[in-house]
Amino acid sequence: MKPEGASKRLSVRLFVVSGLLLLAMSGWLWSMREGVMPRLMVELRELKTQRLLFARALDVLKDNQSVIKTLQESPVDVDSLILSLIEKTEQQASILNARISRLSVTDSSETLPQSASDDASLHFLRVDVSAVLQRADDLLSLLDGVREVADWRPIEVRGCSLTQKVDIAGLHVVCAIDVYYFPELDA
Amino acid sequence: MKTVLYISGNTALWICFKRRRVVDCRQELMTKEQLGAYEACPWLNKKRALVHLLVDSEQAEIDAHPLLNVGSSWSYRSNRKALQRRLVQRFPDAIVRTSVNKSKLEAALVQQINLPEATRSWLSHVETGAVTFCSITTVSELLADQLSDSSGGSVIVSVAPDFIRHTYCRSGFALFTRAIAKSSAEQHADQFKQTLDYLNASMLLDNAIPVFAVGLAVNDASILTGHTLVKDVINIDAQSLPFEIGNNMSEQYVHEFSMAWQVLESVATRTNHSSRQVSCAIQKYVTGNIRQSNLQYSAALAVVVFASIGHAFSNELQRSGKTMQLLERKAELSLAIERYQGEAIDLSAKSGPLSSALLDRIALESVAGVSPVALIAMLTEAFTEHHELELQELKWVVVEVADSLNNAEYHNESGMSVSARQSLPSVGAPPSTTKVTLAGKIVQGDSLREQHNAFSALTTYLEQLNTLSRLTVIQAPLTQINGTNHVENGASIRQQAFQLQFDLSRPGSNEA
Repeated sequence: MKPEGASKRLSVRLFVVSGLLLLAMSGWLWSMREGVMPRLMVELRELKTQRLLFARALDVLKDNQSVIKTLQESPVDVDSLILSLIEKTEQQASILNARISRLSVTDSSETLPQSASDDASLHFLRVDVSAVLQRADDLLSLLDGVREVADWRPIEVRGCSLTQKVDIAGLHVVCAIDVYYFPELDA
Repeated sequence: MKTVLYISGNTALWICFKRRRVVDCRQELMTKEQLGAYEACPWLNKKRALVHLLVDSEQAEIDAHPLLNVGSSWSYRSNRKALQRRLVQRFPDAIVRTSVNKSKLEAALVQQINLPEATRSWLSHVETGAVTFCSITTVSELLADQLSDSSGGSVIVSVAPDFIRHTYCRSGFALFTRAIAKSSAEQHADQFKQTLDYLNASMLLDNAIPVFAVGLAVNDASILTGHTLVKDVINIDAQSLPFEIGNNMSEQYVHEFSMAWQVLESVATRTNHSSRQVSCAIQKYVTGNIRQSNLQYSAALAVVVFASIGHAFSNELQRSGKTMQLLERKAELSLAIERYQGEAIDLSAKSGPLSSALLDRIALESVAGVSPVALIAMLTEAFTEHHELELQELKWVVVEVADSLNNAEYHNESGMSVSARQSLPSVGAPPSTTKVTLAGKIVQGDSLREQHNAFSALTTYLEQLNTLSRLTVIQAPLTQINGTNHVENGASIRQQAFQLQFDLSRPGSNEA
């Protein structure tokens, strides 16, 4: 009976020791778990970024109150913008006594393949003008007309050529001007 | 203070040492009457008084158990432990010793102390009190430890109160011991011869060895020399003691004191209890030690468990505190975002797309190329200063080097390849480059040299402009064999054409 009792005591002791060690290890492992902290940290980082973006957007809106006013008072859609560009360019040419041999305004969304899902894709109207001007300075006046129609929208003269030819009096000018617009604003 | 209990026959002598001095001793008889609790020596008044037990037994026997398969050091250690374990189980009341060092002794020694039942009973009775035996050593072990010759064997002849002991030792171990009754010198010489013959017959002894005589009279010792296996007889002087004896101590116990002192100094006392399980003597000590170890282990385990739980709890508290902070911060940020959104909607119902469009405008303006105003102004200035040259054709296109793949190309009426932006410029993208091509003719200067100089002056002027780079001359006066000659007022005039190309980057102010 005695060895059996001792063996039983040893087993119980081993069981208790194993249990306690398991408890200690479990406690340690439990304290090492990640929990909700990483998720919260990620959410917090995203919120910080969002806050910065919203703060910047608000600043930009405050700095461009005139644009807001323009959009509210006289909204201009794309077709109207195209017409205005053609009219204004012709008007400027008439004032400058220039002869326009070619004038076209093309919507990039119709000519270039664009993915609708691409947020970073740009929409623009390409103004292609070919004219004979008296002087080089007249080109700037012609561009001013385009700029006036574009108003707050960004414009970019992508390329131009000014050529003095023997057979014609004046300068032969060919220019490509991009006027960027924003369909989500209908402007 | 250290205590040694020296038992010999039915006599027990308690010896107390304090700082290399015998300060007290008590002799008593190991009687069978054991009424009540044992009354220990007055200096053993502790709760657990540790006592070293030194046994001088007449009937002690030593058996050597050779270690089979000695092999390498590792296998030696492994086999030694296995043999030792087997012997301890087989002889629970004996002392089992094995050499840790392989080179010393390739055997395990079992020393049967053969204590009489009365002695065992008395020791058990003593242990019922505060006394705990912490080690058990035999006299033969001590003698071997003290006098054994490492180079070969030696025989020690020592005198006990009731008998004379012959002990054969080698490498610090007692391999054989024999107790014989005290008798005349001649009889003792015969018995000594018997001992040597036995050792010789047992293959333990084959050469002449030294004999140490401890406590033997000089005349008695000299008789031992008459044997071929005796090299010389050395008398050990017991008078030069390494400790002091208290003033009131009896000189008759000097031999016992000396042995007891050796017990305290000897390596044999540093007992390995796993190999010396003498149940009647040190069982209490071993049990106590085990209990103490168990307590220590339990305490250590409890500390580990509590520390782990405490650590987990503390971590959890910290974590919950930090989580609360993060949640508060999240709420603050959400509130701030809501406030910004509210303010933006107050400004415009389409605040989202509008702000996005305005930010796009800022991005586009940041990468725009040189404006036509700035370009024409720059060229006007250049050709005013260099009036010998006449500009006849100006072309420019805006290109984005980094985003060239994103640009779709148009070819307009003049044959120029005009690209278009299809996507917003990436953050930190450099401004676009304007590629300019100029063509014209040199209208002044009769000689080629003058025309060349005029053209060089223009290129030098252009090269000095900070915003201009990669100037390439496509056509120059020197590259033409014959310029265009035309007749004016009857004279032939050479008019050299020129053409050059360069990149123009945007200056600080685009409208300059």
